[in-house]
Amino acid sequence: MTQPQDPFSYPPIDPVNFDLIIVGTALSESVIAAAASAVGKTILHLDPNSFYGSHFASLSLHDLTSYLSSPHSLPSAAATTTDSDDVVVIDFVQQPLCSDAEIATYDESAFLSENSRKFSIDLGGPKALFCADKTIDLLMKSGAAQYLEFKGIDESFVYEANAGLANVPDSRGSIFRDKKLSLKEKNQLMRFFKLVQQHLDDTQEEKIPEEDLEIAFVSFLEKMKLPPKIKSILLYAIAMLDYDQDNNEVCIELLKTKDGIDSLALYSSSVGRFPNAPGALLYPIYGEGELPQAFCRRAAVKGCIYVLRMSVVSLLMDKVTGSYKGVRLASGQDLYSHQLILDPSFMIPSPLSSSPRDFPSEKLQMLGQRDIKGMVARGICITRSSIKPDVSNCSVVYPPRSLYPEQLTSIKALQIGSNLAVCPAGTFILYFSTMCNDADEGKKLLKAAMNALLTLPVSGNSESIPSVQSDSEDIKPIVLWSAFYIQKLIMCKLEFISSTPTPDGNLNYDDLLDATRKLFNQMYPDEEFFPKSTSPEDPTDEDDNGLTLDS
Amino acid sequence: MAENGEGGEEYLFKIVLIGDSAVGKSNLLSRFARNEFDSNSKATIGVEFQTQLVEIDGKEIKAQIWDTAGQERFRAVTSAYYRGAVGALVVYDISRRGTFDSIKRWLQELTTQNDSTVARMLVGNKCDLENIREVSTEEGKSLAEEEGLFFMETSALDATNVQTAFEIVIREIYNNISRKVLNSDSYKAELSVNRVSLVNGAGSKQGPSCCSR
Repeated sequence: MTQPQDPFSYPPIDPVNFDLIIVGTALSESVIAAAASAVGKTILHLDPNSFYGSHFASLSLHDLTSYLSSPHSLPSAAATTTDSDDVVVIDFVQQPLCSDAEIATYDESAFLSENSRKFSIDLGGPKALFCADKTIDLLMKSGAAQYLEFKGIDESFVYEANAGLANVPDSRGSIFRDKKLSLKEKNQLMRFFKLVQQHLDDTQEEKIPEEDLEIAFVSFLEKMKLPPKIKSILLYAIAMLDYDQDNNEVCIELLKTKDGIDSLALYSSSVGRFPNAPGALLYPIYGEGELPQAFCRRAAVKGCIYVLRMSVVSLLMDKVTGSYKGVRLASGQDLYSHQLILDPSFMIPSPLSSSPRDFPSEKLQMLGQRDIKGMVARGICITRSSIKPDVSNCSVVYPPRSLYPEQLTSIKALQIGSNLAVCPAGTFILYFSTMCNDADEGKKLLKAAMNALLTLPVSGNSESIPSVQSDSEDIKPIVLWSAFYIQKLIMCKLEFISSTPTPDGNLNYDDLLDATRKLFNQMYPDEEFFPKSTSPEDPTDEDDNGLTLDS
Repeated sequence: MAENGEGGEEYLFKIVLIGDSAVGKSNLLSRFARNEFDSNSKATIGVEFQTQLVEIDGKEIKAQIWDTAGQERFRAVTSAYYRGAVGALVVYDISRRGTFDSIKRWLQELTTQNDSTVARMLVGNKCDLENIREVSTEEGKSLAEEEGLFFMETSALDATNVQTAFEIVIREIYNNISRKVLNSDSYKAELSVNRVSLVNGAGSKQGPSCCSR
């Protein structure tokens, strides 16, 4: 990682008063910076790292290894409060969102170390965009799209127990081409898709009955007499559900039919939306870390001030009212703002080691509150060959119970090749993720998913991982490098201090960006989220900016 | 290379401006693209890039010159800013020694963030401030020679050498393409196939990343 510059060597930040200070350049923070800048707010955007993207960054192999290996802590580790004339200074602690990292290198040549910089590996993968999802609309509306280019994910697969990878039948053509579906299954699937299309078509009168829309989607599929295999594809490979819908103990919230239909609609309207992307998914060239950078550039063009390698160490609170006033930087400078947005890794310890006299105690209790909404286990593997011959970029879903009977959650995987400029020619990056409540269980699941498609060099094979035998005759790619780690899902909100959502377990960004939009609307209820600019001075309206490097 | 309707060829080159705050990057750009100079210019806000048409060997070249949007002030230029750049003007202010001392760091960042061959020029700006010069022309030349850069002293204020500096970089990019130095990596060729751009719709993208119809 590039050596962090000593924050003391920076010139003082001027001005010292802002509408908004944002700490962290993850996707949510970057979107809010761009949206708030677009409506004229004065913003200071800081990041303790030497790179953009925080936990949505794409990093070189060396930088990723360093990031996962060394927990990030603030310069001031002791959680204390100090008094000055009119403010109470409360020290932050920073807890890394990534934990329990296991990193292994199986490549005995110097290939990986020599090519470290040619890798651009996502910290929050697997992530992709549906061609028709709201993220695409936001990129275009905000102007961030002009800094980005994408490629389509060539194929989508579902992993079937004892049968290996099968294509996701996501269009009329792919259903009829599918050699693994019987004629009866093909007809059932076609009839079901036709029913969904009719339901969504306003000109058609035949709709799914209202009472069916309110029942669990899994029950509706059973009512439609769809066989388990088709049901599994619809629930996990197309609707992208995380939890076993047939297991009421695990699945706290069953997806309703109306939401299931919406998921199918998103998927089917994504297929073939762009001429160059025949499938449903897009992935940004150079990695997901390009997305936050694009929004940061938008914000900078509108006047947002950017400082990397600069952390905040303390919170400044009004001594009398207990309300937020500002932050103290690692450089010692105090800055003030109306509002503060914090990367979710920042927190106030509770209880504080020393409480200032007269400071409202309920404020202190609130400051320590964090809502942990579960965990995502993530895995990354680097290989020399594709999991499917002649396919460079593809997605894979492992439905619950497809690897072993105790598998309660689906696993999402994404293979990205060198034609997306994220790895050297002839190599591939595979991302895996699954929701979990326990770090060991999550990593065990991902290792089983890895073993189903990949081979560890003989010396590196672990016996404790459930081995899944695929009847596929293809030779499995050999793993050169792997990492498994856990990300906590955290959310907290205070009166003037907001914490952005962490990377979730979804394949796409829509839920995350919905939460971001909601946060923006709470902060600025009278402002539009990315208004369409009509100003002739606005560069987004100039012809120049209609040009991309290859438009 | 894509051909245009008139049977000629059209190129689009991305060129980036880098260097410390207040060395005159935005004014160099406005002088080259619009023949304007703003003596009151504050830290850069609102400037994305400017496109300037230049003709070389009968070919129409679109130079798309990007400005930092002020992100250089605290050394926070995004890696994406450098992506696809085939030319760079690395600028210092001849009246401020510190801005010259930063040049090696800017060059290192450019090298780290960009894999392709970049036509680079070291630009000593504000040469109209001769009476308060802190960096001699010889020092500039010497550093440029050491690092393999073109070198020129300019003044955005009185337009000295501004046009020439940009044109030298554009010609060098053109020469690099002619010599096929650019995009020699096999994956760069892969990159150019089937790209999806959300600007102006999406279509099939062919040819090297620096050039387009």
